[in-house]
Amino acid sequence: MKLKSARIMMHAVIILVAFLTIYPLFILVASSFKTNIQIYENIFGLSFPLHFEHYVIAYKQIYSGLVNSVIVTCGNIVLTLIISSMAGYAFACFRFPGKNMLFFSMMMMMMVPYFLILTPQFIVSQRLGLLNTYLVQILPPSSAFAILSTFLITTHMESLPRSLFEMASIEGAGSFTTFTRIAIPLSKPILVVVTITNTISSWNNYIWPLVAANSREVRPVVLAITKITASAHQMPGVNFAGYVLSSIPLMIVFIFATKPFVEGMTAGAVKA
Amino acid sequence: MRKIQKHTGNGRRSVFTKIEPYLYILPLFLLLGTFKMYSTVYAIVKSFYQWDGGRISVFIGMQNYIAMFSDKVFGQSMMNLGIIVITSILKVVTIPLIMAEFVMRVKSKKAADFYKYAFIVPMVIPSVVIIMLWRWIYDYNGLLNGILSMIGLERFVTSWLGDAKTALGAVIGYNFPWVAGIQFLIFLSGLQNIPDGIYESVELEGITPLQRLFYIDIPLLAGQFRYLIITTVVTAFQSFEHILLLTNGGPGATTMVPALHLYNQSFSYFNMGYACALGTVLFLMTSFISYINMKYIRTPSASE
Repeated sequence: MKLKSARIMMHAVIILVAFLTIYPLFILVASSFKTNIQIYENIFGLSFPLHFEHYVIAYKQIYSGLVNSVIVTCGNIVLTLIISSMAGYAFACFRFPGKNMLFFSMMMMMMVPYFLILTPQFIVSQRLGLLNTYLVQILPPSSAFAILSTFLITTHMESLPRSLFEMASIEGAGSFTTFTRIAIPLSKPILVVVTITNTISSWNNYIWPLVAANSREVRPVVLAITKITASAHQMPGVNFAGYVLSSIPLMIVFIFATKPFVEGMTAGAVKA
Repeated sequence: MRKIQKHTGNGRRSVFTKIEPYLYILPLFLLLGTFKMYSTVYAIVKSFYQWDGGRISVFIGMQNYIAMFSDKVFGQSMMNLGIIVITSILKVVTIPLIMAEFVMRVKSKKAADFYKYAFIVPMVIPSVVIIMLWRWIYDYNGLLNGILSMIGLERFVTSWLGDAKTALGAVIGYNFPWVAGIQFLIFLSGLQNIPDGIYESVELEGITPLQRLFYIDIPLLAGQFRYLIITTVVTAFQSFEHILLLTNGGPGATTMVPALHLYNQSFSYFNMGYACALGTVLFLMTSFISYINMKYIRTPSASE
């Protein structure tokens, strides 16, 4: 860009949009420390004194939700990694009858609207006795997560040099050894991306747990935060404190794994 | 890839080799079959029944589908869906692209990174939190009215989500300024993949930024456009979480969408056969749209 003034305007626009994007989040945090009256008096910024006790109240109510979300998310990650890396290995490295049809039918499942199968999935879960357990928050969602994950892993493994596999085979390695000693270690980057994508999806999962796992003992934190109660002058401050608390785990993952986080979010887009 | 066959004299070994790949895909398809495929078939079958989710299940043929035509709420929901789809596409192809372009032009790496973080961080927040936050922003005592009052526009103060005139607009305007999302990231990575050589050669000839945008960037981003439009449309057809939490379709049916209508029919009215019919119709629509996209909206192949 040649003109200095054009450049300044561009920066101004970016800063404005960035501000508009971040400001609601700032208000969220700021309001979490405020009583009802403080919010009424000054809706735009911080008010003193800061009411840290809001966080204590909220934490007590969503603590079990946080634990549940962590357990469920870990379960989803592990299960999805295992089944999709196995399936990805098979699709990428074997030729077998029906392979293309099976792969296609798997991808077709991505097209099915979530709400169409909501009720039948609920009934299946009910018949299997899974309602209001951790398993019901892991098994069905993982089957959905595994579709994209398998696709990503298959694509990645297809790009691995065949010579490595052939060498392993000549050395007498069975397919499982090749899987664990060669395919998996070489797929670490994509496995990290898959892990992060599923972490985000699992943590955010709302409708399914609402329908199938809403009991107090197993409900995830995203459900728990909608049920926070407090006295009138503490609302909505305590609510906001709960929202902030429920965001912290994902934030931590983001800070420690920013690059795969970003890759996970765009996963699938580049290949499409 | 041809799998090198082990030469063994053992007949059993080669049978195992043949079924090996199926063992690897077995867990995946076991789960998929149980929860997704069975459910899909089940739902489509049940769409021809009058069913309450329990024991009452009466075959009624096409009646559910015929009933859709006289369902006013469904009609309203489809109209709202049309509006939402169009506005969603507009939201996706304008602001994220413009912001990606701007951020690309920022010279200082530190500033560019800061901006990128600003646009990415909101994506880390759980979606339910963002929805609840915006519910408060739109509240009568919330942020939006507060801002309006402060700058002297009190006459616009209203209950944004509760007023039939503004509810749909509020739902569409949710998460303003619509940058924080993968669209921005996808455009950004697409722009970064454009070889510098192309810019150098045209800048020698002297073109304006607008010309560059329309004649080079947009055509080269055609793949990203296609992907984003398709996923935006499919997502718009399917998403109802934010509408459920913001307005639950109200007031009246002003913000009702087909997916939410289906959800209510299932879990509030136990009209599950009808809900399955609704879902099947939406499934056919999204499949059709995807098919059209695959067939006719071709990416012009860039010189890769």
